[in-house]
Amino acid sequence: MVFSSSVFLFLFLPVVLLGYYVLFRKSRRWQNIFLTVASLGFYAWGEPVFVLAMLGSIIGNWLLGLLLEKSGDKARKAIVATSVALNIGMLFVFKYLSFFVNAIAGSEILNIALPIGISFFTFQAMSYVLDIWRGRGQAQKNPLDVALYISFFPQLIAGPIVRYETVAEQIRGRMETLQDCMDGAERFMLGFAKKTLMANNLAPLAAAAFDSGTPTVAMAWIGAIAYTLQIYYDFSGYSDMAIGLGKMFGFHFLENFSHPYASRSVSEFWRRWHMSLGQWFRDYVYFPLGGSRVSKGRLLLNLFIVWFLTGAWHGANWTFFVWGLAHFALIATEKMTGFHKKAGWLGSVYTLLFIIFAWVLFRSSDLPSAFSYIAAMLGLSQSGLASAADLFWLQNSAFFLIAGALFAFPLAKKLPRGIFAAGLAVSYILALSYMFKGSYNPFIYFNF
Amino acid sequence: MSTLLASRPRPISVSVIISCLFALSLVLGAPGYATLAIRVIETVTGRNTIEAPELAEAAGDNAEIFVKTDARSQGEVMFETASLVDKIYHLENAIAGYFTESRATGFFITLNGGFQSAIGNRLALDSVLGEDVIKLPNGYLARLQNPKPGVYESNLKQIGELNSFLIEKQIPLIYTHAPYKVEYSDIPLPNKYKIAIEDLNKGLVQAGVKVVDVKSEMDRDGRDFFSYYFKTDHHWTGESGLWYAGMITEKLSADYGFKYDRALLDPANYTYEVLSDWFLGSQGKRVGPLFTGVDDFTIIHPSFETSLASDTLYDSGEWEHKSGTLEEALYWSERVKKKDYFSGTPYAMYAGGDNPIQLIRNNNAPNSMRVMLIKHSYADVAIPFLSLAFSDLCVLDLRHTGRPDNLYDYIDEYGPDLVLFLW
Repeated sequence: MVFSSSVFLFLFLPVVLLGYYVLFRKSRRWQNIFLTVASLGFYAWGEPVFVLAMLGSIIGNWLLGLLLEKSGDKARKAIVATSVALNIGMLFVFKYLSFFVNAIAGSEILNIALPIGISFFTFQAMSYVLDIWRGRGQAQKNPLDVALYISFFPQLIAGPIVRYETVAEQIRGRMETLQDCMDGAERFMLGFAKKTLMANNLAPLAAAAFDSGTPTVAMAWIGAIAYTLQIYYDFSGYSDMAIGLGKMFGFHFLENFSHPYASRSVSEFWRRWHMSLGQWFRDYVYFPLGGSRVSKGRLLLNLFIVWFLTGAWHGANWTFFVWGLAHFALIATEKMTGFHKKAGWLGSVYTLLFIIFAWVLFRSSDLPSAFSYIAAMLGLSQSGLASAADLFWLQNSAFFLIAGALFAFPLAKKLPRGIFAAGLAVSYILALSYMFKGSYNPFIYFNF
Repeated sequence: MSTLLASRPRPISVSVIISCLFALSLVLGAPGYATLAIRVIETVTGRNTIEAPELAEAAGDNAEIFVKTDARSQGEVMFETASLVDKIYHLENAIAGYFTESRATGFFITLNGGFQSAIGNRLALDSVLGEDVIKLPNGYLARLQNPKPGVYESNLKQIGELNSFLIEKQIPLIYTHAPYKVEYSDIPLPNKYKIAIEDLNKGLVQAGVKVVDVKSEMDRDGRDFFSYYFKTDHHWTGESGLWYAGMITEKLSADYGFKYDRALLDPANYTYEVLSDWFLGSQGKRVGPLFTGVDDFTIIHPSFETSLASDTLYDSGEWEHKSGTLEEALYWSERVKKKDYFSGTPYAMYAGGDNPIQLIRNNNAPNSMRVMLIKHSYADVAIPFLSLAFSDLCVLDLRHTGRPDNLYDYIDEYGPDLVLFLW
């Protein structure tokens, strides 16, 4: 079930809102139980078998959290290590085992299905135990509260990755207000429009370029730019919907995007793109390794580890490893030389160009396809500069390319409140029209 | 305890208006609840099953001809054999249908088509496989289907086998295939939409099957190719049905030596009742009337006396008998009584649309020919006129007949003088 589907909007969400605010309004305990059951149902709707894996993760981490709180120093380290090993182990089996076995065997001999959103909920589960260990939150006595934290449906499948310390108090002690509900509704509508209106309409253009095999120079660039915009509106739209839904139930999740394409360096881009993932790696990997207050050599190693893991987190494919390492190379160079600080507006151009090429790696099914596509962008293939088909696709998507490019920058923030709200209302109604019509509607980040 | 109402809301503001719009959108699906509840009860009590609508994709233009395996619908069969995950996915789509097929649907689709037209979009992608719609440069809508691999090879093989079976019985088989609009437009189509009827025709000729190339006959006729079609639908118009009946009967008469009166299929001997802006076709229904406009619908009345009887088997298993004039026996007039763009199917006025079997007897027959027509929906507009040219017409729609392997039994039982394919 996706947020931009009629089943979610017309059935699931109204039923959950009614249950939460009418049926169980007098008891926080029952509200939490209700939200947990609804969330598990939400997940089971798409993953009727793998919901058991998530339940296993919930119970395991709840027990480890309780043990951790009651244990002495020596045992605590062992418990945390066990938790990390179990969580990473589960992630490895589902996400990477097939990749490595097949890579060693040289042919596809193992194919383990990937549970939707496993990278997101596993990272949240790890955050639970790690934050108890760091003293940033207390263990929940009731397993249903841990279940609610890990499986809460707004952020369950595609984030933001909620660190336990940021919501530990809210599980029992949150306060719903009418203003939060209204803000949440508005935020949800914004995300819904981003996803349904922008991302879904840019997706066919990107697919036409990437799936053609031999795009012209023009089509390769159009496709890469379309994908750059598509992934932003797709993922940030989902995050907006998740943050908005959380607010409707009194939860305040941290922001996940802040106009990343307006960044002037790759380092800044990663402080504004998928911020919850960056913060997770910062808190649980980068800082424990020593962060940046170390020798240059150690800093390089720390950055390499973080970016290798960030690439790997996105999937078991060489494209993601190379994508992560490309980021490592640029960010390490920025940190060592600081050249981006003197680059001025050229920094924005360099960042955007790098990000566009990086998304080509990200979008491609394998490395040869990625390099072949990049060759087409650079005019090194034999497909020519442009064709009539390119013009057809360009005409067909011009509106969304232009609007998408404009609103990827902080343009909407500068609009008067009334104009922004009117634009949002029109966009939401148009987005609803696409939903009623029934159009292409996948979420990119469900794969991770 | 919830403190939703504990905080004081701000005065009426932009936020309140936006929130009201959101709340309103949540209840848009309310009409679907009743339908859904009924279907759930029916399903639980075993009176019906929730069918996955998009599984009907395989029954599109590019489907295999001999595709069904038993009397249940394709959706049911595929649904039963799907994995648990697929079942849930299809169930969600089926349930979604109850919410998006409400009164609001027409409004939103119209709005969507108007918006897409205004921003210059010509390709309207659809969540249902094979239902992407493209607006051609002349404003005609075409369906973009992605043929399944192996479909043409399969059809080639099975029509070849049928031909061999009929040769043994000395029954001629004539194959015709309605060309698709999109094949003959000069838009740069993505490769995945490539359709190859010409390849199939060539393959059938090589396999010894008699093929009449309908596109060549259209070219010979001299009319603009697109004028054979509705603007908002992939099918032929009524006038094109009459043209096809005249064209193919003339060819069959010349090749197989039976007599017929040319005046029966002469367009000059008919009157044309035009219902203006009456029809929004299959592609039009997916993009709304503002995307490219709507179609007129023409009811064609013979200016001479006719007397026929038809027996139609519906999917439900019930037969309906009709008799009288051509209009009384083969026009389902109730289909065009009311203008209804999104729910109406005026196209099915001709011969009642797609049904498993239709047996037609012409009491004023110009010959004693018994013809079996194996057809796709393109033939619906041609059936009434074809029936005037022969003594008996047996129409089979293999997508609805249940077991296609029974086709051989049908042929043995009916004993046709020739078998005509219009796919």
